[in-house]
Amino acid sequence: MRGLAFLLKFSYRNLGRVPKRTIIMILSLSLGCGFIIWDLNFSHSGSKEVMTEFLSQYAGQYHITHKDYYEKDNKKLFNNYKTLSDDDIEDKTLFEKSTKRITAPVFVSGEKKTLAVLLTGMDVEKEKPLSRIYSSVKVGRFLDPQGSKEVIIGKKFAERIEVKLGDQVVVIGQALDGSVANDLLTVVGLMDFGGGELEEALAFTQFSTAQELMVVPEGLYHQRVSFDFNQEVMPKLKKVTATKWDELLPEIGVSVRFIDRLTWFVGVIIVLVISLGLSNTLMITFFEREQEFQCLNIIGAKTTWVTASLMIEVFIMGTIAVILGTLIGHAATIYCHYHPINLQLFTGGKNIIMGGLTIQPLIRLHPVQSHYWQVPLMIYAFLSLTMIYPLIRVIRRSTYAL
Amino acid sequence: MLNNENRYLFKFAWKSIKRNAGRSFFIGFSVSLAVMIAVWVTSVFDGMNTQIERAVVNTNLGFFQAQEPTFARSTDASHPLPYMAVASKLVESLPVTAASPELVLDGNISTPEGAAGLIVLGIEPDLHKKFLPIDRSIIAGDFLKAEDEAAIIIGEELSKIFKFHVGDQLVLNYQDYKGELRSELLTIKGIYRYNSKAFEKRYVYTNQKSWQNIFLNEYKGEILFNRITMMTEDGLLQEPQFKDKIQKAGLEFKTWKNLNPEMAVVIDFHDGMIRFFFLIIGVTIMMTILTPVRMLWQERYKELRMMNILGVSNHKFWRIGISELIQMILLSSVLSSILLIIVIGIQSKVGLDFRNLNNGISIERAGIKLPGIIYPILSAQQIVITFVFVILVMGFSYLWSIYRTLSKLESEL
Repeated sequence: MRGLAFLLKFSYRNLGRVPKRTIIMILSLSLGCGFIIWDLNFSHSGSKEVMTEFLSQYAGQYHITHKDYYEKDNKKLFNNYKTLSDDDIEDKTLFEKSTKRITAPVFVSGEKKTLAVLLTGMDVEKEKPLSRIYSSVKVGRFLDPQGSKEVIIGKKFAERIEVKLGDQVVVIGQALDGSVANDLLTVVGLMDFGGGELEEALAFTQFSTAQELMVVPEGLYHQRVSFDFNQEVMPKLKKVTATKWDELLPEIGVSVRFIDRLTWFVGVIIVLVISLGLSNTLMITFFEREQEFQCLNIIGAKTTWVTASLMIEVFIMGTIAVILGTLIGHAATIYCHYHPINLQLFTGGKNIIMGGLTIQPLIRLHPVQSHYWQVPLMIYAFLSLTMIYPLIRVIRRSTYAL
Repeated sequence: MLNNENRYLFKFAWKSIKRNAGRSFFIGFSVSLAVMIAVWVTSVFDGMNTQIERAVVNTNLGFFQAQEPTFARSTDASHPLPYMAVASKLVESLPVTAASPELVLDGNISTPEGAAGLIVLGIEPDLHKKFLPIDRSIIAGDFLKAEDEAAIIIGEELSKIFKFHVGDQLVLNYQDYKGELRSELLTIKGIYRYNSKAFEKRYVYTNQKSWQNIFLNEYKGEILFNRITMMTEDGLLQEPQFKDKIQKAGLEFKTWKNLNPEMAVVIDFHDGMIRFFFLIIGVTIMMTILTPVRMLWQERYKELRMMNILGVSNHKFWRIGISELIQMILLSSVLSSILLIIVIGIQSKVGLDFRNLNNGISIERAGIKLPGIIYPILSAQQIVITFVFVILVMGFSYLWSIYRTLSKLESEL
């Protein structure tokens, strides 16, 4: 025990012999460590924030539907004849953060054109505090909860069928009883998704209007969309099914996963580059002290003892760097929590369009606990590799010297 | 080339590098590896962006479009222009590899299997063949001919969903140029498999004659267009020239980025990330290399002092240092170029498989199939960037180290 204490003291003292060099080595390692922690927190928070921003507009965290509503292999396809009711959902607490919708694939006719669109009937009063679709209405107003026969459509869609606010459009589809569904709806608002494709693909009306148009029996609907973004695990339901957003929108999930993995890759590269430089510096430092090692050998210190002291020296330095780096990374994360980063920095000021919707996320960074042990562990692993070659050289030289 | 003195200094510098061969190699290798990785990431993103761009322009968009003004504003197809009189000379004056004058009609079909919105493109088959390889992607039946009557080509996905076969007739519902609701019977002549499922479900092709007959109620006997889609050899590089000429012809100018803003932003985002990555790698390698280079020069302090006493001036030390720097830059550049050519050379042939990000399933986004296998692209520009990067990193580290060591020497003498 006393031997180890002496070894620790000896190694620690050696670090202070060329303080400038030690400081530079610690700094480069700690800055790398700090950057990687910050970068991973940024990537994680960014993905979360982007997804919340995107999903809160319309899609929600998950959809509760009839088991056969979405096709098993392709969730882009759905069977509109499959409905559900509140009685089918055992867990009534799910209602608090969810809203029911009726979906109607219909054709909308203006003066010049007839185009296909997915008309969604929504419970306006319930929808407003949950989703942010109302915020995309830039011209006119959102649906009146007390009104009926109103429709909001995309700006681009309105241009294509040549209708403006206050105009009436003909809606034609197929009702659930097999009859032809048709109605006249008044355009009260235009949605702006910055040119995203959903501007041409979505339209919204009141729940009662959609119910009447599609001849949906009282109490039935197609989807219950949950906006509970804290619920990562899907509720277990017997009669109906819950489908998470990443199954409904795999293309968005893939984009997010790609950025996350790329961030880890960048982190590993940075550590690798730092390690190479560090290995070089250690080698030079060890060679500079060759005479000292030989003296130690002569007065009785074994090569293993010298090697151990060098290893401890590097680990002490690594530990200081990791602690410092973690603090730097955490401080930068906290700073960016209070001063969020605008993702438009990466697009030259352009809006980000994702899944047909415009999003303008300000990334507020949150520390992720796992990064605070994963990154130091990775650095220790690389540090161990870094030492191997310089130590082998020291051992060899000591052997020759003796 | 070099006078005797410089040649001697160069040799001297080379000997100094060789004296600590392992250490010099480490320094050079660290720089080369960092540069190689940075350029590799860039070339992967370049490859991905090129493939995304290619996929987008192949969804009937082309790199550029010249659109008839009413169509550009509202996609109202009622005012097509004659191609030969208005645009053929314009197209000839532009550096395009292919151009297709097209008429665009929004229609829909409704059957017991469901309903779908379609975009019916009226094309001139011979011109379109050069623009998109739909004619070579026919999996059943035949491609269109200019003289066909009421014939249509549909995508595989549409045929699957609506159970259509070659020879079947589909009822197309649409509003004609007067805005009147009409239905027309069209015979399926061929089925294509091309691009994404969304593309196959949405786009159907007919010839100019049939299109004009169903929408304008008569065939005008000439090629008309709502838009002219154009392919080029070098992407959007000649945008100003296209813009200028198309606007002067009284037509609206569009690029694929205007027509598919979602994928345009994806590419901008990737570019932004690459710049950020380069910056971080640059700072990291600079910090990492600075210390060993400094130590390398500090180690030689006694030697420099001795030489100084013997009469070698600071000016000469600088020249030795710069000679060493030039040789290290050359070595690192050669090493990183070799590494790059090997790695990217192999990967540009076999590609990088990104399909495991979605359990092997292809992803479609904004109407295009995202590339599953990425083929990195190594361009001359990247090689130049590699060299500039090496010069900057090595230059800064060496010059700073020489300056510090010589300053110490001066102050002690």
